[in-house]
Amino acid sequence: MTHSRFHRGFSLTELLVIIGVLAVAGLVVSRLFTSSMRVIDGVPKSHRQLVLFDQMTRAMERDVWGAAAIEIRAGTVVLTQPGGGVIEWMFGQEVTRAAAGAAPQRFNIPNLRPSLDGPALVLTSDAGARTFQSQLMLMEGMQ
Amino acid sequence: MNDRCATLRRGFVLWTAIMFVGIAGAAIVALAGLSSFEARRTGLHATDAQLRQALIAAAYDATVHLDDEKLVWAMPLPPSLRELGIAVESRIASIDGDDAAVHIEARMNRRRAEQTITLHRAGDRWRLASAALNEIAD
Repeated sequence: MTHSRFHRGFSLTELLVIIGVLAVAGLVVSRLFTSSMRVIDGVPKSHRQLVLFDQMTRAMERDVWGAAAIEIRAGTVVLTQPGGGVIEWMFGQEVTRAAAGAAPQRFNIPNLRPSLDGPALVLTSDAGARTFQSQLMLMEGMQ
Repeated sequence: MNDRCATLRRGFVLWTAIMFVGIAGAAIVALAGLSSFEARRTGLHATDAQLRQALIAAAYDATVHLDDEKLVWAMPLPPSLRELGIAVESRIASIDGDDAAVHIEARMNRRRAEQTITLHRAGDRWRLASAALNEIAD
C-alpha cells in the first residue's frame, strides 16, 4: 500500500493538467518579458523625444513671440521680424529652422502640421495641438 | 546524486524567477521615471502659459503707464492671480524721446519669465514696436 502510494507514476490527466499550467505560465512569463523589454527600450526614446520637442517649442515660441507677421507657404512657416528679417520653419519628415546669419537647426520631429489662428500659430500632431502667440500681432489687434 | 540534482534545479528556478522580477522591476522604475518627468513637465507648461499671459498683459499695461514718470512699477493683479503667487514688475530700461525700452519680469512662485519690449510713441499713445522673449526658467 505504502509502496504503491509513493512510487506510482502520474496519470494522463495529471500530466495534461501540469502541461496546461506550464503552458499558461510560460505564455504569461514570455508576454511579461517582451512587454518589460519593450518598456525598458522605449522609455529613454520617449524621454529624448520629449526633450527634443521642448527644445523646438522653446525656439519657436521666441520666434513667434516677436514676429510682426506670420505666413504659411507650402508647409513652411515664414515669420517676419519687426526689423524686416525673416525666420523660416520648414515642416516635413523633420523640422528645420533657418534664419539669416545663423546655422540651420534641425529637429527630428515628423508629422507636425502648422496652421494659423489669428495672431497665433498652431502646431498640430497626432498627440494634440500647441499654440504659439505673437505678442506684436496680439497687441496690434488690441490697440 | 538525486539530492544534488534537486538542489541545482531549485537554484535554476530561483535565479530565473529573480531575473524576471528584476526585469519587471526595471520596467516599472523606468515607467515611473517617465511618468514623473511628464507630470513635472505638464505642471511647468501650465505655469509657463500663465507667465506668458502675464507678460502680454504687462506689455499692454506698459503702453498705458509709460508716461506715469515711474521707472519701476508692479502691474496690479486680481486677487485670484495673486493667490497663485503671480507677480509682474516692469522697469524702464531706456527712454529717448519717442522711443522707449521696457524690461518686464513675471514670476510665479520660483518660475520666472522675462521679455524686453520696445515702444514707439504714435500721437498720444505708445505702440509696441518689438518684443523679445527671454528664456523662461526657475
